Amino acid sequence: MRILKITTMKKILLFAVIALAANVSNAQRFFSKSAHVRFFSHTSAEDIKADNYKCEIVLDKTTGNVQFSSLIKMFEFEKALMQEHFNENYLESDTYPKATFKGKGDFSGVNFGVDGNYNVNVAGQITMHGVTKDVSATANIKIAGGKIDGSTKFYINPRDYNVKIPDVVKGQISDKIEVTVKATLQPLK
Amino acid sequence: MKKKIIIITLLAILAIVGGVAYYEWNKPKETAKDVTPTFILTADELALAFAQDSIKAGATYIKDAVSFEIQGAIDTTYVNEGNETVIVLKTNQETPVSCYFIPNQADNGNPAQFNKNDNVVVKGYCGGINGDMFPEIQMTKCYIRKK
Repeated sequence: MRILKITTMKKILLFAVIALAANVSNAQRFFSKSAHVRFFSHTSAEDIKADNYKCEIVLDKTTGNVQFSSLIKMFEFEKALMQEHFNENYLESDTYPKATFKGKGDFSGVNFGVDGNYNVNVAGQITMHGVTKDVSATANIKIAGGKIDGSTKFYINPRDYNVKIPDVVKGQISDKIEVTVKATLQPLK
Repeated sequence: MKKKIIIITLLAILAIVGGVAYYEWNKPKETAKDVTPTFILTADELALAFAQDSIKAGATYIKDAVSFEIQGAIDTTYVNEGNETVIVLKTNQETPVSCYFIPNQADNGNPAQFNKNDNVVVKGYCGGINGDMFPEIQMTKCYIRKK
């Protein structure tokens, strides 16, 4: 009786895994509503980081389209004053509330239904602070046990986006801001 | 004597400026708990305003100086990958109102105690409307209490 129960459980588990894999490999689009973006600035004076875990990313494996959006006010800094300056003086989030990325990647070599590790070149445009700039980066897609993790890292210069940093704090904010994006992607039904 | 007074005055001013700068640099993060709200709305009224005219609603509501008291019923609660508690308020529009509570914030009203369908009041600031596929209105620096 016990052996029968275990066998039945194994069958259910196997069915669930197959169903999940089929669901993932059949999906054309993948998304996350809680993608993580980190801005990191390193200078000899100090390190500053800001995190936003409330970003949306959608990628279409067939067309290669990648869309990303995040709200500036939702970035969290370690210090309240840094957050205030970021919103009020630098990114002016009242006027420019959102940052977006629209681009394309070549996902033809990625099998979303099979475990693996893939590097994909993604290129497109970031719009932030009312300025649109071209950007390209290598994104990593790691698939393990049905879980799809995407990540990328690239650098931006605040001046390219018309972010005016006062002379008095120029030594504290790098002109090479590291941007890290991480997301656990779900198949879009 | 006059020189002494000038030096003491300068030192006092320096100490005050230094103290204010130190306080400002280290001031703690605060939720909207003790802020008098600029607008008192239901979650549906806020979502409707964005659904009718997102540009006008953005110009009115997405401001550092504009705070909200929003009434509504809880649709879902979860903890996101940043360990932030998220309380999603029901609306009759396509867009829900998602209220984000940063971890370890003493004045946030303990959002973990609330459940689906609870009627609540959330105070916070509007970050805007995010997402093309799953648009949501995002509220930050939130404080929650039972209605």
